[in-house]
Amino acid sequence: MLSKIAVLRQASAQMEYQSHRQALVTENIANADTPGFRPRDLKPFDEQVRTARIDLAVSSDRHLKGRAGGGLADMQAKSYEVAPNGNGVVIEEQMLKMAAIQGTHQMASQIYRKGVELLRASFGRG
Amino acid sequence: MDAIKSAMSSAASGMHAQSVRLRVITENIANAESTGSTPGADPYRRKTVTFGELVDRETGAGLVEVKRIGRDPSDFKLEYDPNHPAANDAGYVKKPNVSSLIEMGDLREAQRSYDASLKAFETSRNMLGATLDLLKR
Repeated sequence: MLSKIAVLRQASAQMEYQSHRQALVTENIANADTPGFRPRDLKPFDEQVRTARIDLAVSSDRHLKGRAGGGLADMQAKSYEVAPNGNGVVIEEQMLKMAAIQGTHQMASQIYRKGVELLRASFGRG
Repeated sequence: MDAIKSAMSSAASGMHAQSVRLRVITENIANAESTGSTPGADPYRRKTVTFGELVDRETGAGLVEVKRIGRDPSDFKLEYDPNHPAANDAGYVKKPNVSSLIEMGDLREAQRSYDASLKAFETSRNMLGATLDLLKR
């Protein structure tokens, strides 16, 4: 029921996106000294929203449920510089990303909370 | 939730790899003066650490591992000390190829990377906390 509400759906999608992004950034940081490692990142959120989760309509059980995209697409991130051993991770850059991720995740979770509070108020139990 | 969990295990593997590196660097520093004990014998050879990328098949998390602890093939330093038990016929003793300056630099880098992984772990945990807080009233 809650997933039918656009605000809550968007907020939870944003939280999921930021969680996946955090996983990638953490991988990058863990591999900060691995020779030949190139940092990865998710494609921007708006791009993901545009391409993901477009199911084909089916009118029979025997139709295939095609899906455009599906899952979150990642990409090789551009980095400030590449070390002589082929490693492209700059810790400061990753830290910056991590701060942004945490900020956006917090915002999305607050929006979710407020959305639920609003619902509760409309039920008369505010 | 799964993503956060795999983030935490990536961070943990990063910390582990850096602590192994720290151990090896400390071994190098501790053995910076370890010479052989018979005439012309080789002294301690500096160890090096190489990291490699690894994917956890179960969770899909990208981890880091210590791929190899190798030996630095560079030349030993020679020092004139004819009375040393490891001195060769000409009176020179082979000293380990450990440079304290390089080890210190490596040490700082290991510490910095460890701190970064620790910070990443903390951030992931806070995000998990923020999600779980939604369950609170």
